[in-house]
Amino acid sequence: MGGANNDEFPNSESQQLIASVAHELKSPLTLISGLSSQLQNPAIDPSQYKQYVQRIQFSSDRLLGLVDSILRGYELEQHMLELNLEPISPQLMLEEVAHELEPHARKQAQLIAVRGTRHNQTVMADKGCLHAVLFNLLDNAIKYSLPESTIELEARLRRGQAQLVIKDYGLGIKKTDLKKLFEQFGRFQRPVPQWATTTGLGLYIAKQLTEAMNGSLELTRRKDGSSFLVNLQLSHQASLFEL
Amino acid sequence: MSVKILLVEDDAWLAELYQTALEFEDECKVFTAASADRALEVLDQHSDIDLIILDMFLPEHNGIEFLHELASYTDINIIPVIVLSSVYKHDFGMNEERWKHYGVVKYLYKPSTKPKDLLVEIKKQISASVV
Repeated sequence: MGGANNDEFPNSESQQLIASVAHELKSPLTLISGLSSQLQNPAIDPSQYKQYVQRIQFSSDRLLGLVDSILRGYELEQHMLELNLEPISPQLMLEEVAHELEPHARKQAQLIAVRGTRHNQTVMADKGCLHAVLFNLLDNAIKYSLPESTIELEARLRRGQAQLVIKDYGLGIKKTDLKKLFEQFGRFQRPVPQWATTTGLGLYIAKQLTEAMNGSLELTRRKDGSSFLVNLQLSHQASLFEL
Repeated sequence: MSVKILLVEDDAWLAELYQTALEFEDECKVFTAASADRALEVLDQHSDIDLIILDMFLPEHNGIEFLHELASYTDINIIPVIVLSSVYKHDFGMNEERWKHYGVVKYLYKPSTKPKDLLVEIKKQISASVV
């Protein structure tokens, strides 16, 4: 296999950021551009026309979700992000994100299963930030899950906290990659060139935003995939703490 | 034009988009594979593939690994390959000789390649291989 020339890779953080963001946005934009060009074909049949328009709509929404999370990450870095922590149902938030990204999973014949919860506890979180965290994690899980696999989402109670679980059955993450996973430009060992892979920025932003909401983001590695765990304070805990 | 094409692309919607456009416009027969392993299986089953269109970012084994494997198959390594990637060619750090060794006749940058542009390139490559 041909080795990549490191001299050609972006070196500074700003160069890496631009390269990483640009690559993140390319995939949905390529699809939007290709589908739009086909819509101009007068011979396209009505059912296909409708399907293409729906896919453009979905890809645009996904693009907006990615841009939103990137901007929130940037605002956090610049100390410009104003969090509005309020009680939020984690179950409803998981269902919302699952609904938004369901077409993305369906195109790889994957299923997103949101497990029912046995409690109705709420967590203290900023709605937009929690959305960005879960959107990034689920988008990442879809990207690295095997076709026809199921991605399981669950809101459960662990050690007196709420734990939101995104469990995938995918290629797994190498043990050697675990440490750098949540770094700003951390990368798994993926096809060359490594800087162009898109996992680093999304997970880094997810971790930073979770911590800003007084939570933590963990990864457990299994033989058959990975589980990302978002730990957040329950809203009644937060109020007791404040007392 | 009756051409058999193997499209190796893991994005199901993009694969369907290219497949529909190519088959509708020009009566191409397009076989799709979402992974390098599946692509090799298709090549085993269909010995009359005229052209391969290859995405580079694939699950498990990437495009370079696929090309490397393909080059070791002496009976099928004469199939021309058009790479269709969202990464610039120079980012792979390979020289022209290396691409040529792998049978790559054209490298297209995916975000700026519309289905009709791909079709034009396919026609060009097929007519070149016929001559």
